[in-house]
Amino acid sequence: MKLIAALTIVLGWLTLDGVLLLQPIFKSGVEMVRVDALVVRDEKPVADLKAEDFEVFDNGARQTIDHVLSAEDPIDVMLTLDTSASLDKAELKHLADGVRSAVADLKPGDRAGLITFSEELSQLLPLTGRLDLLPASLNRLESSGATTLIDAAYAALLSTRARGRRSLVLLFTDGLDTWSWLEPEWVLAVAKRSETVIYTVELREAVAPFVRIPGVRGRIEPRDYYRAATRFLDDIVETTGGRRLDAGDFDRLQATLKSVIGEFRQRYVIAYAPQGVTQDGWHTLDVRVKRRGVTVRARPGYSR
Amino acid sequence: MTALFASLAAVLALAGQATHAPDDYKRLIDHYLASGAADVPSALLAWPPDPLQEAVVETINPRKAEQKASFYPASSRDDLVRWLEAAAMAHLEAARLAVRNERSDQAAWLLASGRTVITRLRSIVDPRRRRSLVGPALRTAEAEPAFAARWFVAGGELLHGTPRLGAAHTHFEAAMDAYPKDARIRLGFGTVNEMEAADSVLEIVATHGPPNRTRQDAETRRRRLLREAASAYEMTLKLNPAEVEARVRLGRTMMLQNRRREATTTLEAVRSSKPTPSLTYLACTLLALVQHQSGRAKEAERLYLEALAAWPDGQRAAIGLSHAQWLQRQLLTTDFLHRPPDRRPDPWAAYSLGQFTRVDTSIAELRKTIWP
Repeated sequence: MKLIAALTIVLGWLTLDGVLLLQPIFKSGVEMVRVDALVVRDEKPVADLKAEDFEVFDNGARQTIDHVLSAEDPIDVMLTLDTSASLDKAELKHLADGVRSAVADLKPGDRAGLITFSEELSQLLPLTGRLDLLPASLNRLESSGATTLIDAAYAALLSTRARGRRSLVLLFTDGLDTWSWLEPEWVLAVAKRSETVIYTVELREAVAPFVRIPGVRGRIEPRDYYRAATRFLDDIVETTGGRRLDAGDFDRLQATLKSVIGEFRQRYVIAYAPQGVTQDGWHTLDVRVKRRGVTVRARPGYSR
Repeated sequence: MTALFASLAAVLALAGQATHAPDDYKRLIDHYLASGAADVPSALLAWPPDPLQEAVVETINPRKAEQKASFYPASSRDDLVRWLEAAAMAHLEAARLAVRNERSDQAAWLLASGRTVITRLRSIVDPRRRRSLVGPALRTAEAEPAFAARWFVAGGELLHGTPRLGAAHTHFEAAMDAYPKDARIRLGFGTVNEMEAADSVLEIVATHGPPNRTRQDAETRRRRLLREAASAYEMTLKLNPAEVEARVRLGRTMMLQNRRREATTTLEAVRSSKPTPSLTYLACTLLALVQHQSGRAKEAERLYLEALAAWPDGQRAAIGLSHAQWLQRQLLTTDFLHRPPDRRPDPWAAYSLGQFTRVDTSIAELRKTIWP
């Protein structure tokens, strides 16, 4: 499998001083589509699946699977952390400790990076195999200002280019977007053209139980509105085939972050050269596993 | 801390010596600021805020002034003004200390208390008020000093930097009552309204709430706040057409009110006048956003580039540019993440804080007017 992956020739990426042309990956001149999928049984990832265990339908047309990347293959993790003013120093320390613990599970060959977002986005560490650099970057977390969650998701998607690797954005937030420049739909459109999977981890305990607003009758309970107000998180994980998790509080944050990396490692990347489908536009994907009692979580489609 | 209280005690002991009071306040303030004290001195937080202030308030009551004639001789009007200014200044400085220590409630309280001092100060020098409040010896035909208006502005700027936007609103309302024709006060009031309309909970309820009276109220409040903001900016520009920030904010408010054509005209006026780099940047990025949201990526790209020419470290424009380029050519650029350590902050980062970034300058200027 590794040999096949190594032989994959990526012709579609042209890097010009920070400018990247996103093109599908080609193998020996044939365009390849890669679908990241999580297979679970009783809420637990199913391991040891082979290419022959999967079926993929692209716009309804059955595809021939070229190869499958699995748990042994290295992963890229872009940690994307909310450092808005709603987090105090103690909470930031909890967050940094949780992330340190989670990234301790990364293996040689894996890569990690760190982006923080408040009213500004900061790339504290670009994707690197030097995992020993992460702890020092985490020491630099500082909280301030507003929350630019949507802009951060965009930055993370652009910073994790597949290039034959399995890419995860682990996006932590404790609240609502308040100051992003980009519209949610714009970022979702980018996500539809990306192979990166986004997992979000929230702290819904941090949402205020109730507030009163002058001139507005009644007691407002933000939790009642939270789901609707954070629909972007549902949409982005749905679009990328990821998951939306609620850590609840800081005590459970560490375990939740660790579980994300553990689960992502158990996912599969299924690669195929599309056949019998049109080139451009939206492609609906259907990934199945030829085993009983399993559920597959994968992106619902992709744009070309 | 012991030294602080010793200093405070020394100042309080001088309560009966009006001629020294203003400078004692200054020493007290300087002492607090230099000490890096982690808290606002309790003596300033007690009610009445300070025996000195109480004495001042008593003194400007004509009857009490008569009783204390020897205390405040008729010739000491200027001293009394200086004293009141110093007391107001102490409240402002203490409020700034409270904000630095993330105690916005204390800051709001101190400024509310300071407003009573300012009211007294204005009553001395305002011919319409002095008859009932001050003795003949204190009357003067002198125009009201700029101090009180500037104090209001600085206090409002300070409160806008806290989560207590409601307190900033109240503060600016009091300021407008006192100085209805002050452009900076109008601008501050507009900014507070604009940002109250952007309150995340209000927006959530107005946008995502079920169709009930709470949502209806939220929508009404949001519309009213935006209307008041626009009106305040228009008034600011009438009073002072050179206040370009008001024009930028008016343009953005119009965008939020879906008055896109008027917004574009307003922002174009700023763009073509090429004011400061930060205001040019703000106008260009907003104009770019109008184009971006209308699906005109090429126009948006051009305007984002113009914004970045004015303010190369602007991250919002760089993000907008990145996406506009992606829309046109599938270009993926992450230049906006590569930020030099010595970068200047994006003007958008501070936009929601209103004029808070001016507060240190405002306070420094205010101090100079009473302690040149």
